[in-house]
Amino acid sequence: MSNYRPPPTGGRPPRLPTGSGRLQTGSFRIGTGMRPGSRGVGGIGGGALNSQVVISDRPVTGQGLGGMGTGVKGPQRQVQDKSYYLGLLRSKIGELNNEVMKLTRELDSLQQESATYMTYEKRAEVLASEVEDLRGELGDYNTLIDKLNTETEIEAIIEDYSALCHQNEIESRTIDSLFAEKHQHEIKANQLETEIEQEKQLTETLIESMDEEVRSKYHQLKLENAQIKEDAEQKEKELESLTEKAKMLKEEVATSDLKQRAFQLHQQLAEVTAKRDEWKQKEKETPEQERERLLKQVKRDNQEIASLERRSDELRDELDKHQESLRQTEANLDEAQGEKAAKIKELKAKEDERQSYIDSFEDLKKAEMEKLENLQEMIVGVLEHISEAIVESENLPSVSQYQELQEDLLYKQEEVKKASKTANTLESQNAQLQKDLHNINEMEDKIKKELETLKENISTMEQEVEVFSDLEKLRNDQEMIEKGLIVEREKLAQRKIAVKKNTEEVQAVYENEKAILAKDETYTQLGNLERKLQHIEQNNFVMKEFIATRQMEGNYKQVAERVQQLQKDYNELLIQAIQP
Amino acid sequence: MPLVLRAKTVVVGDPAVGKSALIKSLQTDGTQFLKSYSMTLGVDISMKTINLKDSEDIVELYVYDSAGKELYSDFVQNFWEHPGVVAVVFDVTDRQSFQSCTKWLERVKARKAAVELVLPGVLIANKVDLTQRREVTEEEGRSFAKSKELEYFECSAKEQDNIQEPFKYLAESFHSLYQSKANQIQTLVLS
Repeated sequence: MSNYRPPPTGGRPPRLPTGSGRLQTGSFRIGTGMRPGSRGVGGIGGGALNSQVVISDRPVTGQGLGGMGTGVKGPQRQVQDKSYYLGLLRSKIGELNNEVMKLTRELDSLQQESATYMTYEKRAEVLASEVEDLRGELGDYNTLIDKLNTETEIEAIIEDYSALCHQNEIESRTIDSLFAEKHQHEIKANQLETEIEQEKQLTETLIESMDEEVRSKYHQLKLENAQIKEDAEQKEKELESLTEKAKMLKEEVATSDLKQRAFQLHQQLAEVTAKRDEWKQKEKETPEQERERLLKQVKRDNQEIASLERRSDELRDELDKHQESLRQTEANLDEAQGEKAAKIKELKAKEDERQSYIDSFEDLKKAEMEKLENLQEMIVGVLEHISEAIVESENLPSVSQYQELQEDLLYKQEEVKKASKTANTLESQNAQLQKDLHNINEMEDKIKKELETLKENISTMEQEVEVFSDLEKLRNDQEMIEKGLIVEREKLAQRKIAVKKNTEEVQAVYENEKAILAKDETYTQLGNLERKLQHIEQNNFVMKEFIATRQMEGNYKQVAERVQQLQKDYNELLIQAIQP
Repeated sequence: MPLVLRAKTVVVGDPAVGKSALIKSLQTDGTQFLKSYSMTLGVDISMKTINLKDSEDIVELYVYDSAGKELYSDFVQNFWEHPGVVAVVFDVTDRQSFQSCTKWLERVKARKAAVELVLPGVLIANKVDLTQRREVTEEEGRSFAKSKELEYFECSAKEQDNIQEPFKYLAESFHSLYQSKANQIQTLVLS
């Protein structure tokens, strides 16, 4: 109770007279001092309950102090033990998790992008066509600007325009006719294809209707044909490879003059030997045979000449035709120059567009219809909402009322805040008062106990008073005791003298013995030896301690065991991680 | 008038278990500790007054700090005539000293008067601060103390840990023994 504080209410009972029997006053100083002194208002007497609670009047107590700051950060952690590394690992794992999450998010976004990519591509195509159109338009505008800059008159332009329109019409007509022609050609091609099919079927039926022999022969021939084809192909390939090789060799040869010359000579030689062989063959023939052969040759040559002449005539005709057409095209070119081609392109693009529009028309229509339906539904919904709102608006308060209500709300909110604050303060007060009540209860118990002891004291005192009131008897008793004590003192004094003598005698004997002992050599030697032993034992102990501490320092077994255990754990973890 | 009881306290145990250090710490209320070892020669006698918890009586413990060396054992035992209480000390880092406790206890018990039936005693495990070098566990000490009807205490003279408690226990048990005896005599006289 060193931190004892006097309570503000003065409710502490006054210090009681202790009388002869010492009371344990320490126990009756009750723990009022334990009450925290932070509260300025009110006390034990319940003053806080009676006083009106005004929140603003309540000072903020020191209870709301924040926790102690951690202070200056020390140097880096010096003991890098298990927990330190665990901490490190945890932080790393956290980073890894973050990274993984980031990657998964990226992956998701990429997948989404790839999904949208296709649609984007389609749109890009559409946009590209649009861009082309716009570019054409821009060209138009540019020409217009040119015209403006060159200050051509509007009439000329109009004339141009009409001319172009006219031309356009003609061209579109020609295109239409070309289209029809194309269509016709296509129909023709189809017809031809069907005819071919029919022919094929005919041949098949023919084959089927053939005799066994003929059919087998046909098949054989077919097979032979295929084989020969294959053979030809192979041969062609071979030829190709050989020509390539020859080319390579030629290139090789071309590098050196000498080799070239050798090659030429070889060729000459080959030719000459071929000629010689021919001549040799001819020599063998009879003159008749020779004549026949020559005749044949003449005939063949004549035929060839005729065919060549025919061919040259044809070619000449063709040349004329081509020249005419060239002339015509040149004339055309003079007229239309490059514009026509561009226009045709444009028209084609338009045609494409039209076609694509026609193709996609159904879908578009459907989409539009859907949109329309949606919009209709939406309109209906909105209309319903509006009608509801109209009905409700009749029940709504006016603007001024609304403002009033809002003000009311604000006011009430503040009130609520205040009320909650007061509730808080009341709660804390309640706790405080509960504590106080507890203290008071304890105090009460103590006081009761004290009262009891005091009552006992009173009774004993009363008895004593009775005894002490009879002074005469007391005095007599006192005298008796005094006399007895005096007698005893005398006795003791006598005994004391005797004892003193006795002790003196014993002391003398002791001194004597001591002197004798001191003179004794063995005793001194023994003493010395004992001291020596003590010294040696001391050294011994110090050494033992030293050895023990050194042993502890050098004892690596625990560390080794721990390391092994850790390694084992780690290995197990690794195995677990590797095993699926 | 509060009573003053005097109890002959015999402290025994193997050499260098820390008997003298323990007693020095007890004597000085933990302000001093014998830093360097000094072998006890024969017996050192000191007195420690202990106030009892539940009584106004006082117990004065006359502590006989006996030498642990076998060299002195015959010589030392002469001082143990009629022991009041006994304290057997061993070193937790030295199993040999723990095993010697039986021997020491028997020696003290041999010196007690035949009339005395009980000899209050404690088993003190010293040097518990040296946890790394510890060889004798608390369970072992407790079971041994129980088998010998001793109270078990763990303390460290160096750390001033738990030094007063065993001696307080000795004082209390001595006091209660005295009181039971006094009651016996009183009843005998009255009857």
